[in-house]
Amino acid sequence: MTSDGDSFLPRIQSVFYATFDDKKGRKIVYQVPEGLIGASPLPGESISKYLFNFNDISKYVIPPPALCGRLVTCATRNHRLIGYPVELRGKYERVYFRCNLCFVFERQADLSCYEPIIRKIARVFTACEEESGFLSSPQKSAAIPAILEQLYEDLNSYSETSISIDAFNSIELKIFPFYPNPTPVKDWMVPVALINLSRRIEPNWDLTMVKVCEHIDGVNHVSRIAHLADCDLDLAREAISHLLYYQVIMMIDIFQYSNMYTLRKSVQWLADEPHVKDECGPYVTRTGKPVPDWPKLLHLYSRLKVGKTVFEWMQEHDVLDDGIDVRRFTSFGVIKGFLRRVHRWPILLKSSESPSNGHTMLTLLDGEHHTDELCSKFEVGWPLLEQWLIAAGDGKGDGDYGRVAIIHR
Amino acid sequence: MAESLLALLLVTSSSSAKGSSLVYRWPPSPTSSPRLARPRPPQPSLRQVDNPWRAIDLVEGQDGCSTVNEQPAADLPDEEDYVWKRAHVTKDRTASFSQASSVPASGRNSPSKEGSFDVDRPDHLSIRDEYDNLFGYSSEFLAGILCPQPPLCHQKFELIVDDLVFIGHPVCRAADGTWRFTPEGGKSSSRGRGPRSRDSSQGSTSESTHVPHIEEEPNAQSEWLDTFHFVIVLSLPDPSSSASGNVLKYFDILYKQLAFTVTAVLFQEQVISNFVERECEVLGSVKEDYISKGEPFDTYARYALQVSSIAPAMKTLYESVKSRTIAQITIHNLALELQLPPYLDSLLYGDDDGDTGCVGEDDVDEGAAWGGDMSFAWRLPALAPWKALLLLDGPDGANFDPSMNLRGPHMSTDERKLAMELVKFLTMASPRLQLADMAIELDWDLETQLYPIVRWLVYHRRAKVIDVVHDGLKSVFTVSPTFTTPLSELTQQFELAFSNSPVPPLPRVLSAISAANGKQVDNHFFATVVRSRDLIPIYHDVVEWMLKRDLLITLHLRIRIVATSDVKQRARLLREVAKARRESMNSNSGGKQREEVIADFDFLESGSSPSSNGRWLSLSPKSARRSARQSPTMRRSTILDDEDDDGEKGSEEAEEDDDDAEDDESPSLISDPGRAAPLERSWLAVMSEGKEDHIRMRFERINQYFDGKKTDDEILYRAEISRRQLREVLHHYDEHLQTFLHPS
Repeated sequence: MTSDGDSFLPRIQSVFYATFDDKKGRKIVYQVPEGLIGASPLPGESISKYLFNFNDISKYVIPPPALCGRLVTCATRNHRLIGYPVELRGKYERVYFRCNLCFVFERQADLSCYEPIIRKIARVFTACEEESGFLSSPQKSAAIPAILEQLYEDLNSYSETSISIDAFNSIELKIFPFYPNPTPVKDWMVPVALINLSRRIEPNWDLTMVKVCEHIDGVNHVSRIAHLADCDLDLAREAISHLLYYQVIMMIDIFQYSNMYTLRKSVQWLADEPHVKDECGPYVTRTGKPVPDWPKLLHLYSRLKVGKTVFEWMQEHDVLDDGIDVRRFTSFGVIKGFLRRVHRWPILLKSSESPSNGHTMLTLLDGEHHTDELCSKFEVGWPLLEQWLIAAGDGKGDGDYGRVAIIHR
Repeated sequence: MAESLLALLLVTSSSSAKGSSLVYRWPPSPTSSPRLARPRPPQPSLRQVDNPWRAIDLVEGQDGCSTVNEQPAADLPDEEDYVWKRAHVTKDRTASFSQASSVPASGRNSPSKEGSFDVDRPDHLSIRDEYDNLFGYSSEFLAGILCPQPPLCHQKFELIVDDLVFIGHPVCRAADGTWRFTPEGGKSSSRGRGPRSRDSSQGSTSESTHVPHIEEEPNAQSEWLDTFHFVIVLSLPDPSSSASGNVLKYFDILYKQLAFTVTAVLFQEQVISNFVERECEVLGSVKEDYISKGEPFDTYARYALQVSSIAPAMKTLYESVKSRTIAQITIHNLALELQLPPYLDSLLYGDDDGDTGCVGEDDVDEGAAWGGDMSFAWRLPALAPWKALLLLDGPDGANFDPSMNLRGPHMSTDERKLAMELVKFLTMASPRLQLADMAIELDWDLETQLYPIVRWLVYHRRAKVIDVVHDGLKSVFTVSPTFTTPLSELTQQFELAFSNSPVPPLPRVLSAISAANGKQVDNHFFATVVRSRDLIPIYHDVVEWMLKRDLLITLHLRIRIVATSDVKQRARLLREVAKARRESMNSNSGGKQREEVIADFDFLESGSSPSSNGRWLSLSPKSARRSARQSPTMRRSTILDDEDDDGEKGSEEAEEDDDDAEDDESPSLISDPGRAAPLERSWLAVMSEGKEDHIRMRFERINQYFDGKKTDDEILYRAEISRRQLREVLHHYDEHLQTFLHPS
């Protein structure tokens, strides 16, 4: 749906643990892999063998108290660091103990999915320190390099890890790929499964979700699914929006023979794409019928136009004789993104003589609500709604809606 | 634009007694957007009465129900728990742990107050606090954290703390303690790249100030200033509302367009005339003055606008960004124009299905003509010779008066001549005139003279590039799928604009336009809406009005070539006949293979089994041909008659294309006729059989554009033919062509 980088997790370049040393000040205690971050600013030493010099960014790694207990991300020329500096007060030589465990990434990495990881590690470390002085006691803190090592290896290789620290504490982490929020689900949208949903259902799934999934077939719209599944409309919307979030379904429009479609700009390159031209024929043809060739199908797509209903288009091109399943034909174009549903947006023009009688439908005829919305709101089909619109506008019918203007867009 | 912008800061640091300080900020008291510390229960409708906790919530929610969603900080005690509050570190740090996800569950309730020194002086606190407290941090602390070590200077700075993002380009003095331009990458480029300041010299606001500065002797002595940093503070956008990586891209644009440019100018002025240090001294002393007088911060902030030029520049910049206009700021008499791409904020949201006929982000070629600054988040149509220019109304609603800048007495004759041409350009610009034609009429070079002006106009939102509107209004339009303004408002504006004319109300016009596309013929604007020659002038205004508001999208014709089965069969036969003939003439070459091919040909022609060579019997004609193609010499001869000057490359292509093309003779598209493989060329030749010579030649000349991507306007421009000539070709080659009508 969106760019393919969505589920790609940025690679951790380095994990390091830094503290505020009582005598030497800020310093890196351990780092994995070793020697990547320059710690000593020796004048003759070449910086280039390091990712960056610790001194440059040390004030963000072990910051003043005001930044402690906050998620801090900072950047060097080529890298980005994320950490959660912690300050603990207690029986320490300097009264406080400051430390931070940081991950280093490429500068361009998107770190959203690592934020909870960093917070959790800081939380567990803090708990360990408070219980047993895990970080501050020299004997116990010797275990830290192994933890860093495991974090680095496991998170990079498996995106999850389980590290037990002592009898009571352990770090259990799993990086979840980052998905953008789905667009709001409307009642008149039709979910289409992109994977085989029924195979994924497990016994411990949410009950509403299971019921809703049964009715996702690329035909039923959301309010109808709620009705068929006998569940609350809000819950059905939530469930579908959840599926949408994981990008296992996508939303198309209600198929009706009165629908109109039009080509989008993207057809100019999608028409040459193998995944479009090779998949189209088998998908849109009824079983047992010969599969039409792509030029023929493309021609049919090009004849779908604003202002022409699917029904008129079928009549004109004898589509049924070709064994084409029209619903699948249009939804294929919409799913692949080169076809766009054109909605009818009725608008009631003001007239001097008859003031609006305030009926709900009339107030909705303001050009901001399309007919799919009206149809699903009033639970009628387009033919009946069309009659209502004609009546509302005092039109003569057959394309004349009187004072109701219909904009196709 | 940049809805996430919270504040602009200028911080400095000095190794001497002054330390780090926040010199100026705008707005005086910025606040960040409210955030939740934990998710609230979804919607009121989901609160079920049978759940005791929710039931209580529902009852409590009764009085403030409508405000619950918009106003998280409503006076419901329950709501308080959900709202995240930034800790005021100077007062009480424990509150900072109220953010649920950051709260270590135990032991973080240390009650001691710590950190800042201000806490101990409660008498002065309120005024001090006003000056000193920014986003819950002390300004001194912020200044310290925002002035990085010298190695991090002269590069992009990025610091994210919880919900606040700090972006900037800190600069510091060189190692020898002077402010100077250094030859290495970062600094020298920052000096030269005041892109807007150069652009604005075209706008004739400030040509004089720019040049002499460079000649001045740099290295004015600075006394204490070590580092200064112009910082943009943003509220971290919700990463989950956009695709991965977009937030970083968003930061990058703000950095490039605002932070970098302003810093470049400040740095130059600092190097040349110690400007920043002087400004900071002025602002610093005024601030101390006002603090000692006990004046509120707001008064100081406003007074500062009068005594400094950085302060008003920051204010203007902030306000322009917020109001989505072009910021025209002046720093030390240098005029700068800064703005952000108009569609920047949409980066933060999911993909809207933008079918608005604009260059997509991946259309690198088309975007390239606009240049770097305008290629991203501007959603501009391609800048091409066959497009036209539509001048927009000025910001105050008045029409753009082209001669307004001509009245000054300061122009030399050369400049005046240039200006006259510019005026001519502006008066000539019309949606009906192609840019290419304009260039010809003005005798300007398209790329080097015309485009820069178009770019300038578009950049300053004085014009937009559109598709040419037909003189007789015979363009095919469709209604844009999304309107930026509600239709009711547009309808009113439309009524005002065309009150005394026979034009029907806007919804009627739009309705007529949108219903027309379904028609096979007469789907253009004239036939569907205008219908009378007398009304053409007024409808030109109507169309312009609608184009200015992005209500219309021009549909374009695109053409593809289909090779049908008949064509393919015919081409194959012709090829084989030619080959057989040639080989029978050329008797001293390749005996066996030649026989095979002739046999193949006979087999196809007569349907009888081939006479020679038993191997043939087991092969279908297709596979026989394939086996024949195994031999390189054979393949060469197959394509020889179609070969022209492509040589080796052509034959390689032929090899690839033949493989899938010849395997079936079902119809297929010739996806790029301009670079047709020899086999495809043979199909094209078959299509032209029996056509009149001039039509055939025209087809051969223009079929390279029939790739389904070039628009009719582009084809006409590139092939230099008239629309009628194109139509003729389309008519004669009807059976082999597919046409598409969609936005570009």
